Amino acid sequence: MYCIMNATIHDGFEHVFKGDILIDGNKIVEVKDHIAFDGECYDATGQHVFPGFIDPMSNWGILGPGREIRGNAEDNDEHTNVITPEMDVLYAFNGRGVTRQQLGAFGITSVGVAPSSTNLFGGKMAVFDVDGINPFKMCIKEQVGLKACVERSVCDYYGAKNMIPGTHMGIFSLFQEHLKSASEYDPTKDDRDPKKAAIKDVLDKKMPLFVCAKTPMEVHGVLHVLKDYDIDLVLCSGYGLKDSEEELLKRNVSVIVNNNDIAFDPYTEELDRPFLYELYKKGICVALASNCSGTMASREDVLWNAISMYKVCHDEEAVIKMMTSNTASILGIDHITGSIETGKRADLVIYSDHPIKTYQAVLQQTIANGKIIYRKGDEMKCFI
Amino acid sequence: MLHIKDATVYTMEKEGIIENCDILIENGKIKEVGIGLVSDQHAQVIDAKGLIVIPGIVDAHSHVGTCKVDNLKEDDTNEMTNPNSAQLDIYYGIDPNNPSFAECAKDGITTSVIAPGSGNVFGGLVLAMKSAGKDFDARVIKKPCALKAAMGVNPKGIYGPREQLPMSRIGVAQVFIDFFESVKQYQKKKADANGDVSKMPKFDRALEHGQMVLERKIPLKVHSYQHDMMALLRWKKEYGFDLTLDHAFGASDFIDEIAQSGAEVIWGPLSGPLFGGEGCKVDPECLKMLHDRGVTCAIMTDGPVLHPYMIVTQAGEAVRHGLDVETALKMITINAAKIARCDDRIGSICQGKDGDLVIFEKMPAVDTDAQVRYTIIDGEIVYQAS
Repeated sequence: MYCIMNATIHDGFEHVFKGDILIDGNKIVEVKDHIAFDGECYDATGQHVFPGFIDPMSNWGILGPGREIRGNAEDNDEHTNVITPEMDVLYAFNGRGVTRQQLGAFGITSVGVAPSSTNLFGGKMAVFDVDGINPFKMCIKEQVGLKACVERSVCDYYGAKNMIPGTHMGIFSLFQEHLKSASEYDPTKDDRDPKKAAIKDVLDKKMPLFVCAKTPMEVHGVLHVLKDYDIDLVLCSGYGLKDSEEELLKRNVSVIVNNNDIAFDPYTEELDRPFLYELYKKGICVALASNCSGTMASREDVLWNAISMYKVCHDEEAVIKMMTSNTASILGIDHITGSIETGKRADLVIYSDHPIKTYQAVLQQTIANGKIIYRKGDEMKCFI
Repeated sequence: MLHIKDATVYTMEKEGIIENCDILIENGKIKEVGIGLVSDQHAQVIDAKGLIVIPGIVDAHSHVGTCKVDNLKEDDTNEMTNPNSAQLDIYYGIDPNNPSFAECAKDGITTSVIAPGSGNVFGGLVLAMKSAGKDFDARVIKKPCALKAAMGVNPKGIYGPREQLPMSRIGVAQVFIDFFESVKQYQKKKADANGDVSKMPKFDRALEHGQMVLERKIPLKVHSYQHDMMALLRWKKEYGFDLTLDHAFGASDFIDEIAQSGAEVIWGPLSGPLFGGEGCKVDPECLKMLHDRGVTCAIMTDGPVLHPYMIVTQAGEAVRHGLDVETALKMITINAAKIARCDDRIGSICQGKDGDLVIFEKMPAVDTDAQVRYTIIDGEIVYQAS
């Protein structure tokens, strides 16, 4: 048992209050204004406690440790077929690869991991802890969603090999065709077809579809292709949404927002953060990511994404929600983590001040699944 | 005349921070800094009560203006045809009308030190120029201000796949050594000629630029991370040049060596995961450690890699990692100006320096939502928040 005393608690649902948090094993067992407890305590007077931040859609654990002797593709990037929905990122995740990154030092306690953006249907996503070795022990949830991508990156790879899709016409033609054939698939009668089965899980609402789309045209195309299908849809990147506002609200689409501090992304200027905050206020579930395109991200990205959001909305608790409970909800793990409540996993981060508002806020301690994974002053590890 | 009234002014001089301070700018230069100054009735007045004024931000390592962020085919940053391209000059690679400059002005960067890329071991001459001004040549304030070079993975990555030198770190090192030995020989031949034109070596622009480095007229500005910095410190001692260690991730492993060497550090851009080689240690805490040991440090965006506002964000992250706020701000103003050998004109707020200022609402490097209200270059308001 471990008690965090006298903290300013931000519960992940926009509530802020003073109180104590009692942890037993890996669970939060009590949250209230004063807990009578004489065991091991952490005095958090003047400090702020948040649910551990969740990076919803990344390639943490895929990159490294180091390149192997043979093979040159990232392990979430099986670009031998543009349609690979049956593949599962769980088998590509290396616990040491993410543990080495010390994401706990950046307030992150769980990561969603996705296939790359080279394929139209890339495969299944999963959510993991950030500290451990065995991916199956670290996995918080598998089959979190099916990753798809309708961005130019798909045409860039396959079109160059004179294979469909070379254009967005090709992308959406394939998209339509595979939705239709999956909808007609009956696993009790038809031959085994894992591709159709995976897409059928989406059509049966067993898991949501996460689609990377960056331009208004791509967003519009996705919504148009899916107009006759009642599925859970998550649009990833946050770019190019404004033209489709009415449809987004009608379908109650969720949104994962990419960080855009790197200027070389040609669409970076299209990230309309005031509009994303408007969507949030209208009830759309908005979550903040490092880099949801399935390639390298910075360890600071989730925090910096949050700071950029705060700059436009000045609503720090809404931003915290976009890093915690909203993220958990999109990934279907909100019954497990993403908030500070009795019964949730002890995934917590303690800062000296509010890290979204001031750079003077210094991380004091990060607790993931009940274990302290980072303390202020811990040595930052090196890759080799 | 421009009259800024009643601000909190971070001078970056021995005067430190002055509250309720006025600044008068006339003919592009700072005329006076002090409390309760009087200007004539024609002066343009900015009421800066409650606002923060810092010197115009100086980005000590950037490539803005040399490429288009949305079309990387139009790249004048990297002449990747010879690993030793010391003869080049970034002056001819800059489009002064490139939209990145307006973005810099908007985010408070008033001067960028613009260098060739790191695709070559020797990349060419570097200059310092302002984000706005009368014309290209008027905006250039120092030319050259360094010779650009690069260790490690970039030259390897360009020439290795072509099966050309250098494809490895031992190859990169040899290109360095051979160049400086050639420069020494060139210098010696010139000295031996003793004024006799017929005995002078054939003019060689690359070696001329190298000679400026060995004569310490300009520093060598080197893309360097991790252990590559140690090789440079050896050559710095051996050949006696001034050195800036640009990027400098992993510097916390070599604090003693860097502090003793007299090299200066230009740190950033902070982004990316840990990975092998140049990304094996990412240590924003090194800035405090280096500063405490007396090393002059600056922070860069590597523009346009990071958006210009990220220079303030990175200064903020340096604060999160233990640096005091004024020192962090010095690393994006006066320290950067000193490293670029431009501190006679820019980098601090004092009488006689260029009228380059940024006026913030809220405190930069502390408040994450600190916002640029005005950017002023040579006394002209080049950006004003709506």
